[in-house]
Amino acid sequence: MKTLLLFLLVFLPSVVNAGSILVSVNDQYGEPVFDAVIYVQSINGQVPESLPQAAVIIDQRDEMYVPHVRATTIGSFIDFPNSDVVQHHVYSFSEAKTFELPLYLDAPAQPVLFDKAGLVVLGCNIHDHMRGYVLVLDTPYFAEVVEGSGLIENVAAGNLEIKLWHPRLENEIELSQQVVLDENENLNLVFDVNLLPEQMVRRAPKRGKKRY
Amino acid sequence: MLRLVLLIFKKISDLNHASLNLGLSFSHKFGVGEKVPRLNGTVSIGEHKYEYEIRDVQVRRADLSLVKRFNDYVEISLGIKHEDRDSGHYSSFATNSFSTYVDGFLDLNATDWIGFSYVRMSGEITSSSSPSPTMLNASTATDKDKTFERGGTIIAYRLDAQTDVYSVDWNRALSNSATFYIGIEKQDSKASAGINYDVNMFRTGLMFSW
Repeated sequence: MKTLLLFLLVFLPSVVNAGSILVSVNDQYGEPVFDAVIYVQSINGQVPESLPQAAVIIDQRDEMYVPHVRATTIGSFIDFPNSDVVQHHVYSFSEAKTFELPLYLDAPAQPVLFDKAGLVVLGCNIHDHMRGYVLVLDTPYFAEVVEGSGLIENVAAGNLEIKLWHPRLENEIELSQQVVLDENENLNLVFDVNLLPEQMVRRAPKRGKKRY
Repeated sequence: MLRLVLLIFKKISDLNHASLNLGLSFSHKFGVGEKVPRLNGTVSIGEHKYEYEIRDVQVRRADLSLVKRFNDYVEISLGIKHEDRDSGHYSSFATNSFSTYVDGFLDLNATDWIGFSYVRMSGEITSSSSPSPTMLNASTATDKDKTFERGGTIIAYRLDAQTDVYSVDWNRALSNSATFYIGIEKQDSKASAGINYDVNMFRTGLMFSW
């Protein structure tokens, strides 16, 4: 009972008074954007504390990383199951996480710890056309954007710095907006972004070349 | 690897043919990353069927190439290839050749790319023409060729030659497993006894892979 009361005293106010932010993201052609991440970088100038996420998964299906972009918090482990019938070799040379999961089917031996904030670009050493992204964040308030919208829930009120990241943003510069979120407010926010053309190693057959 | 190829010639339909090729491939990457060079090798055997039996050949190929992707836009290969054509009773179509080549791709956007290649082939070629003492003296084998016969006698001559092949194609990915291409190819053959050939081809096609 004491524990429950303590829990209510500590957490209930923030949960009860928390607001939410619904972010709409459109590209330069007015089309809804996929594969973006929105997150609250700071509240009243402070980076909110985050906890590691549980059971974060990036699947490999039809020689693609699914999802193409995944956001998570520092200290989270990500599992990379392989749902294809061919072997994959996951790797990253990114500063935020350098690792390799050499050739495997089904499931790797263990999940990978992401212990540093930043962008992690994933590749497959067998299938060069496979590319994926992990954005490791030091804030608990974030959402992945699907079909042009993302919802960040249970955000504490205050002066917020909201950031948006997408793998095809020009010069890889994140966009940001400053907003004020009142208690219990459901805020709507719009980001209009200019995305670079998609450019990646192609899978289609090429003259005289075998598939990987 | 199983490859079915249908080639249809617009102006010289006698050369239309189908081929079925069975091959084994390997690929070795010298490290981890998409820009790391890789060594590709293929050995294959194929049956090529023409309208006229004299041109039917069994083709055995061995191909070794070093492939390097420089960035998201450019990939270049250097390779060597040996080809052995066995034509049963018609020795003028039984040829051997060795080629060195360079080819590559320049990606334009998410769906289009330019492909280019240069091949230098040393080895035998087969040339069909009216009877010619010069070609007879230069040839290493002859057969009567029905392929281009239009009333007069046509002889197929096997000649030693050096051939340069240049090609460039524009390609569009229609899906992950289909590509349309359109391009040109130029062949310059310098055969023995000063016999030279110059062939220009416009080509277009569809490729599917599974």
